[in-house]
Amino acid sequence: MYKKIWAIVKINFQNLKIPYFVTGLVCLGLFIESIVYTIIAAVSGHAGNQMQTSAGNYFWLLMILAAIFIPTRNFRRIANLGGKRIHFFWGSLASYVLLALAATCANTLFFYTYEQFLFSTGYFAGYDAFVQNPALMDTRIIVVNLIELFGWSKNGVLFVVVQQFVFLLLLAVVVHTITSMQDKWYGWAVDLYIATILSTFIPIASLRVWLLGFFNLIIFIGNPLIQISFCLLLALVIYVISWPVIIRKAI
Amino acid sequence: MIKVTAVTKRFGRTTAIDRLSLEILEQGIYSLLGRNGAGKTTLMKLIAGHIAASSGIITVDGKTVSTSRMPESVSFIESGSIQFNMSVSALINAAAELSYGFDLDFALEMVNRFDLDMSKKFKQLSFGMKTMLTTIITLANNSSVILLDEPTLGFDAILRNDFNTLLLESYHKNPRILIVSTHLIDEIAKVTERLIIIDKGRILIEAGINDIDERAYVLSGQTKHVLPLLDGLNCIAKTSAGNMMAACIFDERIVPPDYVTIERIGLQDFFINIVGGKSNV
Repeated sequence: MYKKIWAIVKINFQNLKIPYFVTGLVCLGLFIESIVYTIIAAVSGHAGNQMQTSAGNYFWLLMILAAIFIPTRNFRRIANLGGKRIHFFWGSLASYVLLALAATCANTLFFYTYEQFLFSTGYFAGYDAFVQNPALMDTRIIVVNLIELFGWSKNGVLFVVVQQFVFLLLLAVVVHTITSMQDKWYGWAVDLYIATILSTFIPIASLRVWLLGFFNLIIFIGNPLIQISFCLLLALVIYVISWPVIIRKAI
Repeated sequence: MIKVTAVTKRFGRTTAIDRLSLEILEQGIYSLLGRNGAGKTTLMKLIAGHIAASSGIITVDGKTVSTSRMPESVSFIESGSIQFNMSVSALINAAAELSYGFDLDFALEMVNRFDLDMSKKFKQLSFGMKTMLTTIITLANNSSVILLDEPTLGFDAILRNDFNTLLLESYHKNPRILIVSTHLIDEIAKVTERLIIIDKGRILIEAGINDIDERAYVLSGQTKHVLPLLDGLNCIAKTSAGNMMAACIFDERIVPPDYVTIERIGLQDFFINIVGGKSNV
C-alpha cells in the first residue's frame, strides 16, 4: 500500500510541469522586478508610493495549480497505468502535504532572507513596519508578504511555518475537492452554492460577520493553535468528502 | 471468474446496458463484438469498476465490483487511452510500481520485440505504437481479468498480426480471462475462443467460435421451399428478392432437400446478420 502511495506521489511530482513552469515564471518575474526597483531606487536615490506583493507568496500558486492538475489531468492517466482510486486518494494527499511543505519553506526562506535583505537596503519596508509607521509609504516600497499580512510572523518562525503549512494544505484540499467534482452536476451545485454565499454574505453586514468569523478562524486568529487545529480539522473533513467524489469520478 | 447479473447502466435517459447478464467462468480469449454504441465499452468499464451500474450486481472472482472497490484482479484499457508524456521506460516503470505483480520481464521483452524505443516519449510514438505500448503495459499486469477495448483500432494489417501474436504469447505465459472488443471479427477469430455479441445493451449470443462455425449457416432457394424449413429453427435473418429467399440460421444443422442450398457463413456475415438482421426476421 505505502509503495503504491509513494509511486503516486512520484508520478504526480513528475507530471506537474505546467504548475512548476507557471509558478517559477511568476516568482522569477516578481523577483526580477524587485531587483529592478532596487536598482532604480539606488540610482535615483528615491523610492516610495509603491506597494508590491512579495514574490515568495507566489510559491503558493503551485499549490492551487497542483490541486487543479492532479484530479483533472493526472487521475485518468494514473488509472490507465493501473493505479487504483484508493492509492490515488492517499497518494494525492501525500503530494499536497509535501507540496505545502515545499511552498511553505520557499516562502518562509524568501521572507526571512531575501526580503530582510531588501529591507536592509533602506528602499523597502515590510507590511508590519508600514502598519506601525504609515509614513514609510512616502520613502519606501512596501513589500507585502502574506506571512505578515495574516499576522503569522508575530508568532515566531516555527508558527510561520506551521500556520502557513496548514493553511496551504487546506487550500489544496479545497481546490482538489471542488475540481474533482466539476464533471458532475453536484460540482456545479457547489460552485453555485459558494458563489451564492459570497454574493449574499459580503453585502449584508449581519451575514458578513459570519464570513469574517470563518476567515478569522482559518487565517487571522491571534491564537495560532486554534488556527492550526481548525485548518487541519477542516482539511480532514473536506478531504474525507472528496473520497465519494473520487469514487464516482469517471475514468 | 466474471458474473454480471441483471446489470443496467443509464446515462441520463439513455440506457447503455439493459438488464444484461453474463457469466465467464473459464480462462480464455474472448471477443466482445457489437456495433458502435452497442454497449461494449460501458460493459467493460462496469466490470473494471470504472463506472457504477445503475442497478444489478457484478462480481469478479467472487468479489462485488463497485467504483470504490475496483477489483485488483481486473485491468482495463480503452483504445486511444491517454498516458503521461513520459519515456517508454519511465511509463513501464511507473506501471510496475503501481500494479501488483507486474511482469516487468514480459513488458521489456515485448517492447524489444515490437521495436519500441525506450527513450522516446509517449507523444513521440506513432498511434499504433502508443496503443501497442498501452496494451503491453496492460498485459504485463498480473490481473486475472484483462479487458482491452478496441485495441487494434487504427492498426495496419501487420500491426494487427503483431497484436494477435502479443495476445497469444501473453495468454500462453499467463492464462487468464482476456476480453477483447473489436469490429475486426475475422482477424480476432484467429486467436479467440469464444464470441460475445452485444447489441443495444443486451447479450445476443455467447458461444464458442467452433460452435458458431458448426451452427451458423444460410439456407437459400425459392421462398416457397425455404420458408417451411424454418419452422423450429433459430432464424436470425431473412432476405428476399423476388421469389427467392436466403435465411441465416443459428441452430442445429439440417439436411435440406436438393432444391434448397445450404452454405457455411463467415463470422463477419454471421455478425452482420445477427446484429443488423433481426429486423428482417
